[in-house]
Order: sequence, then structure tokens, then C-alpha cells
Amino acid sequence: MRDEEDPRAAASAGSAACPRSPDGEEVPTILDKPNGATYELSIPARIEAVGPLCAFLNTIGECHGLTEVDLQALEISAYETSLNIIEHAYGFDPEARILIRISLGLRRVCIAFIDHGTGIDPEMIPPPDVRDPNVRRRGRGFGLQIIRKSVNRMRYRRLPSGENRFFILKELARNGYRDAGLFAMRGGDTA
Amino acid sequence: MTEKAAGLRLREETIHNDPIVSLLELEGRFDAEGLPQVLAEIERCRAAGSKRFLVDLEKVSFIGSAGIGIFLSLVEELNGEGGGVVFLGVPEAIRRIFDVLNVLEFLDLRDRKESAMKTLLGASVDATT
Repeated sequence: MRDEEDPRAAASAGSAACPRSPDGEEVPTILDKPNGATYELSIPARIEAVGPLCAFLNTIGECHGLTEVDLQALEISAYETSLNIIEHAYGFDPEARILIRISLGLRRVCIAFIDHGTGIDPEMIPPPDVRDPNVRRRGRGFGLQIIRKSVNRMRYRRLPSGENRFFILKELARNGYRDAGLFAMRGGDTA
Repeated sequence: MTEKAAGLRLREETIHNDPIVSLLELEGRFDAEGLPQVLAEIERCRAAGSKRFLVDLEKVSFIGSAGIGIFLSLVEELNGEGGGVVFLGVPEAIRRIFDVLNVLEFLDLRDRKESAMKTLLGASVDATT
């Protein structure tokens, strides 16, 4: 059962500390899992929606006791991934949306980004050669490199249906996870 | 102090006249929403003849790759024109991002304004502003 159908969980998700999506929808949608916590939200593929996503990520990360360094790495990775989807996969299509699923475990956090835009395999994009002054002068193409260096693993898949799935996985510096009672979830290790 | 972009405040001040040194003081989140504002301010200063920038990042809580790209681009441009950019009070989280991109060696980071001004104006100038 999805917790959002439970009136108690709905009340919890609607607390003042819980951010809303740019559409005004209540987030997070809490998916009931026996040994962990997964949050799922859909955001418009627009630049102004990325700030609230970062705020949301910070809120749940703090609730789960993630360290500041881990949170910063996750925030910048989620930010850069979302911008890449908005710009390169969707070409700034204002009607497009990105589905984001954040799974918190005892020792790691996995974030999945799902879109239906143009597929771009990050493995095919070489890191920027910052020793080249022209690369620095151009001042672009650093986002993917930040993601690569900020998380422990990333993976891209394009499904036959045209759906793009991009996963980032961050090993936590220490067992940062704790039961975030604010969102009425159970603790545990899913990752 | 202007506040056009969500989460970013930007203040510009000419802190030395001959040569012109522009202080850009940023505060809050420097993400994609704040880019146009920062770019416009840099362009305005450049049009006014500034080739030296002191960029104060002490109160910046977040910077994205596009923001870093703007600064790298500015450094390259001004180095080629005999000017320069010095970054002041760069928080540890932002240093880490500079570090993962291997761009620290191309940036001049200072903790003290006096030291930054000496670099921008040349060691022989008494930078007391």
C-alpha cells in the first residue's frame, strides 16, 4: 500500500517541513517498503523546478541524518543531472517532466532520474580537458564531470519504450541513515 | 544588493578606480536561475572598462557547473587582456567542486581582501581599500 493512501501518512507528508513541488503538489510520495525509504516525485523539466528539488533532497537527507558532505555531493549531482535532462534530453520543452526516485539505505543513497527525451549515454561523453584554455574559455561541459566525481557509481539505460533511466549511487561516509520520524517511515537498509 | 534570481543576491561595487577593480559579492544559491543576472553584471563592468574582478563567494551556499564555467571563462578572457580575477572567501564545499574539476590551479583563491587586492593591483601598490 502506498503511504499516501494512509490518512496519517498524508497528514505527515503535509506538514510544514515538507516541501511542495513547483506544481503545488505535496511531496514526498512515500512508498512503503519493508526495509528502507523511497521517495518519488515528478517535477516539470524546467530550470525553476530544480531549486525546489534540491531543497527537497536536503530536507529528507537531513531528516535521515546524512552528513553535510554527502548531502552536498547528492545535491550537486541531482542538480546537474536534472539540468542535463532539461537542456539536452528535452531541449527546454516546458511541458516535459522528470520522474525522480530517491532510495535511502543504511549505507548508500540511490537516485533514479526517468525521462522520455532524447537519450544521451554519459559513458560516451569524455571528461573535459581543463588543461586546454579553449575548454576553460568555453566554460561548458563540466556538469557530467561533477556528477562522475561526486558519486560512487552512475548508470544509464534507454528502454525500448524510449524511456531514459539514469541512476546515481552514493556510498555514505558513515552509517548516516536514521529513521526520519517526520515522514513516518521505518529505518533499514535497502541498498 | 539586488535580488532578482531566486536564492541569489548580487552586489557590485567599484572598489578601485585606476585601474578599475570591480567587486562582485554573491550571496545564496548561484544556480542556473542566477546565471543571467551574474552574466549581465559582468558584462556591465566589462563595458565600463573593468579588467580586474574580486569575486566574493564567502556567502555562497551552492554553485553549479554553469556558474563555475562563467568564472573560468572570465579568468581566461581577462588573463589574455592583462587583467585578472581573484576569488575571495571560497567555502569548503565550493573548493571541493573546483577540486573535482581539477581547475584549482587556474584560479586564484584568497582568504583575505588585502591579499586579493595586492594580487589584482600588483604588489607595489598599497591596496588599502
